[in-house]
Amino acid sequence: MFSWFANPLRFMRLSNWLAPVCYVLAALLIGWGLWQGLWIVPKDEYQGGDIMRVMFVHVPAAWLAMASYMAMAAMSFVWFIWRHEVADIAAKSIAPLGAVWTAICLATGSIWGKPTWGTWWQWDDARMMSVLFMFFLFLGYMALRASMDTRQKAARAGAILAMVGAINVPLIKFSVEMFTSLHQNASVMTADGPKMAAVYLWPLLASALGHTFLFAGLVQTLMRAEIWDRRTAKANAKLMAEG
Amino acid sequence: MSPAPIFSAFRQALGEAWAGGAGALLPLGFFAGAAVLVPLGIGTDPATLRAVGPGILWVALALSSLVTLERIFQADTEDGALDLWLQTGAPASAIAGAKTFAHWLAAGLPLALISPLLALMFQAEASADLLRNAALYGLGGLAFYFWGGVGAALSATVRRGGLLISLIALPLYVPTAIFGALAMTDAPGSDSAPLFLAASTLFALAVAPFAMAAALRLAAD
Amino acid sequence: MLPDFDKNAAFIWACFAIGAGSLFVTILIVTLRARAARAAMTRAEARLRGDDAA
Repeated sequence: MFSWFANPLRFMRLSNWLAPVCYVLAALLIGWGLWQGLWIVPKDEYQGGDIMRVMFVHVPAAWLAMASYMAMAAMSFVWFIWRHEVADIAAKSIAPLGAVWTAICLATGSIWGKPTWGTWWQWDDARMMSVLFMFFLFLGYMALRASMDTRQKAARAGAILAMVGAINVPLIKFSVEMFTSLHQNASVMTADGPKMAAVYLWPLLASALGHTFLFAGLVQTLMRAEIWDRRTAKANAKLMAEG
Repeated sequence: MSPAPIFSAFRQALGEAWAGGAGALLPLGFFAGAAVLVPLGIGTDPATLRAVGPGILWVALALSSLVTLERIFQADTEDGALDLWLQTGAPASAIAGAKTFAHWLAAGLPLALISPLLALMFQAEASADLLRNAALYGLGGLAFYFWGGVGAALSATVRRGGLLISLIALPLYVPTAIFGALAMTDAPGSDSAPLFLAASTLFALAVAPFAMAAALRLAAD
Repeated sequence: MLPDFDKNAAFIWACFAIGAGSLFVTILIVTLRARAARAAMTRAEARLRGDDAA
């Protein structure tokens, strides 16, 4: 099944129409989610009033922070075992985009925290800390790839690090939860919050799905750019060889 | 396959790390220096120092492990020793593990051994707890060295790899640092923290050698 | 017509502005990067074909 995707030409044909479709779906879903989230749904007094509307950008970002790292690790695994070039291109392209959504999650979480918890940064919040370490994992991955002198080495080193990071993520989350459970009285919002009402659920799901489509579209566009770069390099090498 | 190459890698790394005693003194100096800077930065209030002391020592231990590990595999890739290790037929993971363990013995264990002294400077009461804490620093330091070793192996061919090692290894240090610091408090959950610390160290010992081996094969290419 | 928030309006708008702003910049950078890559490839391959013909 993986081999079917492993062919760069097939990927180029697929992404040629799939990426625009992703963008259109993303625009529709995010647009509807924002309209619902900002104008239509009632505010929730339990969650501090209108401030809870921030979840329509914060929760999708948090979901993508986790999902993108897992996708990057999965692609690294596929590359490491089967050496399918497209998988490595995918892992390389996911990293900067995952870092962007992780940063959005941290920034919006911090701004949400100020009126809710009274502080910009809550060390006692397990989710906040986990996402911060996620951000460091992305940065380390990108820095490691950038410092390797050949593409093959960057791919191998990146794959090893992404897999090591991925198997550590559950342990990091567990330890952070243990760390933060000591100070639970400090947090106003409970871990899962009150049962979420259906009025919020659909706009939230639409936003999360929309962000996922936007992410998928951007990953494909970056992968296409990477494949074009490689074709350029190949053409230039041929030109050099012919003198 | 004979285990001889593993022992010789261990001896070579131990000699390298020990380097006539200076090898152990440098990380000790770094560890003590980093810890001593703290009261200068945050003031000398005994209650504050007593509260932050154990945590400061964890931070200093993590930082000094990063400083020592920078060259652990770099010298081997430069002089070709790495290719020889890989050709001996002994598992690369065992060789990498032996070298890392040797560096912990020469540089990490001394840090744990002087931790009671530094703890006293941080106004801790002199008690048997300090010895127990020293054992925890030793155990946690082992996990730091193994995860740091993964970073060192990955950046073995990178010039100025030290900064890269820090960025790679710090997220991996998180569980050990949390469990270790928690074990030295009276907070609820601190009873089981040493067990979790031991588990996270065992996890590092089980996983890191294979990651180091894969990274070293990459460095040798 | 902007919605009227009870309080913390600045915080709410800041969050949505950060989300929209950073995603907009990301989309812009990715698009420009892809266009530049495609243009460079087209040029390089055209030169390669030109040399072949000559």
